[in-house]
Amino acid sequence: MLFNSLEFLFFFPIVTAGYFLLPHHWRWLWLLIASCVFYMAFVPIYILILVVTIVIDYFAGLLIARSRGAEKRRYLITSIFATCAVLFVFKYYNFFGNNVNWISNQFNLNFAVDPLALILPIGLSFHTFQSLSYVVEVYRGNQKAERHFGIYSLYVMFYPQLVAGPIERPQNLLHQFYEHHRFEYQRVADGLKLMAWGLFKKVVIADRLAVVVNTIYADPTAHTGVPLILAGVFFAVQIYCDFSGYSDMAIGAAQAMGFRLMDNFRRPFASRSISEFWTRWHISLSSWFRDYVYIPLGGSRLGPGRQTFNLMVTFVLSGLWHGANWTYVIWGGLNGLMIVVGSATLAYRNAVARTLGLQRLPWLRHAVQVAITFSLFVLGVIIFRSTSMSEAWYIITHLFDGFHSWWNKDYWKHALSYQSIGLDDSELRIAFFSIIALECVHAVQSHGSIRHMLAGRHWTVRWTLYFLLAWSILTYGMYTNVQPFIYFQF
Amino acid sequence: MRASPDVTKLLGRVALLSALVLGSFGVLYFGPFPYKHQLAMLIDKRVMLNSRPAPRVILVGGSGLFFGVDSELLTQSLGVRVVNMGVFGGLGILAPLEVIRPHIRHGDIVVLVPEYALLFTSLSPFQKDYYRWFLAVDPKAAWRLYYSHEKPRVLMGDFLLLVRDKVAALFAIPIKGNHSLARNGYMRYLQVVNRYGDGSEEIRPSPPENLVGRNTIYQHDALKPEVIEQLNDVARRLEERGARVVLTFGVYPEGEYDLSRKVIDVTAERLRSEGQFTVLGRPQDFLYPYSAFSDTVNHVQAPARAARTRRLAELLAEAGVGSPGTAAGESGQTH
Repeated sequence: MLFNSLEFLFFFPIVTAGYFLLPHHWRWLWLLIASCVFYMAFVPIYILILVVTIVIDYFAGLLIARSRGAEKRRYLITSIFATCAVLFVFKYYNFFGNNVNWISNQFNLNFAVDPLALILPIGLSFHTFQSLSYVVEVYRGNQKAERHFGIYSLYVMFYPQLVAGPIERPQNLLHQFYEHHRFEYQRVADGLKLMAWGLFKKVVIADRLAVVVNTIYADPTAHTGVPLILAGVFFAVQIYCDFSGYSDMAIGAAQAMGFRLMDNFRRPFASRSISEFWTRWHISLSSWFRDYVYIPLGGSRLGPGRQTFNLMVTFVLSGLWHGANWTYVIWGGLNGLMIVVGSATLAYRNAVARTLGLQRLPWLRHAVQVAITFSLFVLGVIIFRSTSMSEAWYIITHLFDGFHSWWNKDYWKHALSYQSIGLDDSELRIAFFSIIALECVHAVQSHGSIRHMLAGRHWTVRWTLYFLLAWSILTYGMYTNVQPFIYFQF
Repeated sequence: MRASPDVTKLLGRVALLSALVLGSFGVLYFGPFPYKHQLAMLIDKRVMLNSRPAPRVILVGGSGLFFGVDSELLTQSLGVRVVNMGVFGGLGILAPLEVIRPHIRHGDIVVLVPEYALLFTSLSPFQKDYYRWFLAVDPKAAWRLYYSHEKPRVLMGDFLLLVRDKVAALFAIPIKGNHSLARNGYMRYLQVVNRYGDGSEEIRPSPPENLVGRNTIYQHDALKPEVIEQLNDVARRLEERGARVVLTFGVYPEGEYDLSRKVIDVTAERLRSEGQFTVLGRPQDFLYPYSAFSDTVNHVQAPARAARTRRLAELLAEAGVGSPGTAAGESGQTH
């Protein structure tokens, strides 16, 4: 079920009202049923995969908790292996097979891996990682093994974050299912406002920009120059609004029922370096890789060489997590490389800034850093969005084609025409003003919580903003060409 | 969950916000604010139709009529008030008729002028970018239209698009689309429609060679049986309201007619033999050289427009419409 669907408009109030109406000891069951309904709205049969993962890690958790030493470690490894095997079969088997077949062809070997005709279950990587974090935390002793099978199932299946995160840790979420949440006006209202804001980002901005991105990426070789740059920039904003919009709706939906989910985005486009960017973007995944891959590999404790290696491994795996395609692997590796290079050149960059006098103009230096970071991110997402490396290479090498024509008005007229980008002037204008609205909110957020800022304003100001938000969602939302959330595919 | 003060407060505020939003939609939809879109001329044309007393000659078709008839001359020739309801062929002919039908009065003569492209494809195409203008004219008729196309869910989205169009007009934000009826009259429909409903500004002609060989050559059996059934049905329903229904042919370049002559002639014969309405003239009555057209094979320039109007007047007179030579008093307001 999509958050931006008519079905969810009925689902959410029914589930939330039912949750508060039921006695506390039945609420977990209500949420579990609701989560099953939510997930089965996509492909019902795939709930069995979730059940398999849940059963494996539920019993693994119990076994790990009551074992010691090598046995404990064996249970952990078995559990991780079994959980990852499910992920591998559904997500990576065909990718692996294709690569084996390619190698086999190169060496004229009479060997081929037959592809499996499987559809990737929605959100598989998300709930797999959430399950993995449970067994690891039980192994580390940070979390008691959950004995209540229903509550554990709910931890994996909790509908707001089931298909696209945030990827929660058991220490943050599991105990909340035992808490008795009362209906509190302010909390529910805040949850609804957050959901509305997320919906605005999704249906007004992301789905509108998706039209341009999809038009251009449908045949990138038909374009050069400005449309390719526009598609890259728009995709960067689209994926942010799509995913952070989903996260806001997930956090808001959970908040309305009294649950606290972790923040997933903190204004990533205000980052001044790629390393800072990854502390603000998809925080639940970045911190997952940090806690369960980077630090166990040694992090920065084993010298610069090993740290570089650890970083690259972490980012390549993070890229692979996103999808079974070399474009994702290379995208992940590129981000790792940018962090390594950024760290290695920090002293030189500071020296250049001093030479240029930028130390005396910190705001300008800040702006330049933000612009460069954003540009590097756009470069990365060009690879991320491309279907193959040859397509990505074409786009990157043709970004500035026809540069000499950029001073010609007719060039822009053609480059930004409906025929070229798939959006007409009025829609582009709406996209432009929506992004400005988004940035205004970000600017306010940089000075503190927008909720606190609003609370101090006259009711007319607050209600005008609520009215405009609701009005914009209904009137300027894209409902005829509904796009699934990008991260569902992961 | 008892109805605690918190619940009441939340429900009250959600209801208030919903009421404010829905109320604003209502004010915009029903309020007397203009739309800045040329298809909004449908609204004005309906007002124009209502302001003219019966009997009237009501021309129904696409932009070939909008730009292709001198209704003032036709009024003078017939002595009957003419209202040109032609707007845009992409809307089809059945949908505009559905909107017009409640306003048809006893004694009216409804002249159907479907363009060939409509006859040979569908009289009722569902054009998602344009259909909302029927909703702007008449919600009840629009509901029937959307429902008949199995698109009732689209109606809600189109309602919101209309609200958007009105906001854009209020803030004078120009809406540019990719489909313009009049290159020089875009967004200025209030100025380009005269008091009879004709487009009153000329389209800049393109070189005739732009029209040659760029149009559909109609194939054998291009006219589908359901098209005649639909025309018969609409004629019957209009006649139930006391109107007389006649059909005539659209303008077409001679060269294009030669390419599709057989199909067009057979179609004319079938319409005459199977149609339960009067068919006026023959396709050849409205053929002109390429040079008489402007930007498409449906849009004629002034000399051909005058010739077409005279021929149409003759055919209507032969069919017993009006009293040629006695001009009717034009009681309608300048639009």
